[in-house]
Amino acid sequence: MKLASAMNPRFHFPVVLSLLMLLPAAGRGQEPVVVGSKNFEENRLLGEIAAQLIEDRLQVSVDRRLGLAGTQVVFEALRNGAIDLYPEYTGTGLVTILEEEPVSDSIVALRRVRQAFLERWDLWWLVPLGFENAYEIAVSREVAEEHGLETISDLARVEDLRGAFGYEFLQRPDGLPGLTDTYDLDLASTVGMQQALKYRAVASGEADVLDVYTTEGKLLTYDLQLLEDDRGFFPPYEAVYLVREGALEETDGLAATLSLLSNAFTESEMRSLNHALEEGGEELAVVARRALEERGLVGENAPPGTTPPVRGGEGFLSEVRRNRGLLLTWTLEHLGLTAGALAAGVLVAVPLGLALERRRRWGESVVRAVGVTQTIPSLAILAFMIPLLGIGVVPALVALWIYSLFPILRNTYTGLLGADPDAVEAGTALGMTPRQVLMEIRLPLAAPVILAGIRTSAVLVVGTATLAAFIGAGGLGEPIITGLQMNDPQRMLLGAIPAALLAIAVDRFLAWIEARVRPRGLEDRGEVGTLP
Amino acid sequence: MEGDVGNPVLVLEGVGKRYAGAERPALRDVDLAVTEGEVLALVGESGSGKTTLLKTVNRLVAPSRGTVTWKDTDVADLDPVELRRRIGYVQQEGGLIPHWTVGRNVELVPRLLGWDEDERRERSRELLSLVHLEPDQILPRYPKALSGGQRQRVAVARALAARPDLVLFDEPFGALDAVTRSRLHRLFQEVRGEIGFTALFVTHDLGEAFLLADRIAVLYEAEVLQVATPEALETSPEHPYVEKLLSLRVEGASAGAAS
Repeated sequence: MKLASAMNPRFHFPVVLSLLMLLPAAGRGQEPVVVGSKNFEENRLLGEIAAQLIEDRLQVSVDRRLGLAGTQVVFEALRNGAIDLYPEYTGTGLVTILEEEPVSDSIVALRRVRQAFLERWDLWWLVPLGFENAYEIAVSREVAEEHGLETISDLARVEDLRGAFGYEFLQRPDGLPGLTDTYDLDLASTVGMQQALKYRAVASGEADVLDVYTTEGKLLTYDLQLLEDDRGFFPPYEAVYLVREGALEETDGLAATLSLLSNAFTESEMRSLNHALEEGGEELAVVARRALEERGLVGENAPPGTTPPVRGGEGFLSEVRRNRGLLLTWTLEHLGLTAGALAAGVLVAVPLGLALERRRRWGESVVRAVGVTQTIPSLAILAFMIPLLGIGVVPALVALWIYSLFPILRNTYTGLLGADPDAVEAGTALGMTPRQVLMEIRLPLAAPVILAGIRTSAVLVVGTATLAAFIGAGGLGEPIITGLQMNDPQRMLLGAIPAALLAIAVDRFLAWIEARVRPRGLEDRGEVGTLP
Repeated sequence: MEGDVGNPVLVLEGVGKRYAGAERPALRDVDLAVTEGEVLALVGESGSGKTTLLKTVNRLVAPSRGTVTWKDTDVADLDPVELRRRIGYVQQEGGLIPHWTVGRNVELVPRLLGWDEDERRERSRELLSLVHLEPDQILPRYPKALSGGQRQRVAVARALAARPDLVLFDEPFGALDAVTRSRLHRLFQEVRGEIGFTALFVTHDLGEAFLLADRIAVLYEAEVLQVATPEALETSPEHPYVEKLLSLRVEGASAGAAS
């Protein structure tokens, strides 16, 4: 499925296309199911559990994209088919994705998101897992006893309390802003903090109030008092697998298999599993395997250690081997982008340099004006292209082309002007026309300088082309960006290392050409030999 | 003006030049005539205007005032490219085109004039032999592989290749060591005796001018002070600066004047 998207004809170079045709078809037979998750432990765990269950019962390979950064990214990935399913929460679907008012009844919430997601995006809220993971408000045991706090309404009566909240909670409508309105809360201060840090802040007495998730494993570690949501502010956050309809069609038995997990977890069971991961330091695959075994969903005789390890545990080389088809595609796309932009750059910048050599009055200013393009950050040039040309290969090519111009133009212009002034004077004084002087003397003498400019430009474009993936043009930036979002260094290296090698290879290749275009007669004395 | 023997082929009248943005003119009201077969030396120190004067002849420099007449035609009315192909040119550093072989350099003007290849070949071999270079050995070489003296000899051969009506020498031997220079002085005389040419010869070295020129024009601060044969110059200098030059020449032998 991944390859299919890479092979769809968004890439317009016939050469690259025909090369792609030669690739061995990678996903022979059944396409792998791609399981995603957000980047926190419970969500990863639920992703891994689904992945293992599918592998075990359907004998289908699973591609894990666990730990994607945040709701928007993982939801986008699902919507555009980059992943097939991930664990989501009804409240998040309702409030964050649909941007609707929260509802307090969990049945109503599930019905609402089911209907809306199916209508709009062909996505199924398939299997309620049996527990909710809602926001809750907690205070330290001492503070609770000191002020007699049991409900959030109790909290509103107390002044001078300090809050430590997750960054997302500070912003979300179903987070602090809504909570403050509903309960008329009056906290002395609020700070945004990382998940783990806010627990420590409360434990050490530097903060009094924090937001927690119902099933968070840390609740078993820290001595906290959960406050009852007595006005029913927090919407239900029921955990459900959200699945692409297309994936259900492509993979027989996927729906039935996932339904085995329906109501499989209580809140306290989930909390223990999370605790095993967060505090016990157990491996994700092992915890997932145990959870499945305890529920009788996979064979007891498969020892936990033999479960396929998560991506992070694999060697880089096997990662390369597994992705070699994609790697070739990315590299060819990258080369295509670079070559296309560079060729267009040469076709414009070299003739422009030649023209400016004849109109020196404008030369400097034009070269300097083109130089301004270099001061625009490359990502900004790419971003400018979106409103003009949309996304994909064409705007990326245009952006890279703009970027390639200056080094070539500057070297062409200065190379032509700087060409051996004695030789130029001799040619002129002996009756060569200005055009003959340009073509027969200046241009050959400037050729190595011009080529050095092309070389600089090529290396620049190879590097910048990694950013083209941001606007959907593919290339080696694709694994880099995915790796960034998934916090997966190996995946980043999968793009970064070939990109670096490509830059070096292009540089060496052009250096070799440069030596070839250097006119004979300009070598060092020794190579030609002196007359006796 | 004296020595008005033979036909003047080149006549400069009231030639002045002020470069854009310059405070002082580079040339002021120069009158000069060169007759057929004559070598006229332009002697002066750096900045005296001698190279500018030379370049007004083949229109590398356009005079601000006055006229340069060549064979009864104002050069301003001639196509500069056509004009230059009929005038030889030798620079101080030779000005050989570095990515061309000696052969291609020497054949440049004949090629521009459309001579056929055999004719060009033959002529370049002839001229290289004339300047005492072995054609077979030197033709395929690049300028970088030559010594300074060899380069200047090739440059002279190139300037003479298309049988020009006039040759402009811009300090052709100025950058050479004393031994090589005196060897080339002898060669210059020899070549002139062999094929004969009309020339303007710029130098800062009065000794060199005495050796090679029929007449000498002394330039000082953009003006021509005196034009005379070497003998006349020596016996009756018309200006204190000319006297000073002459005294320096005696002291320093041929080691050069005012530089």
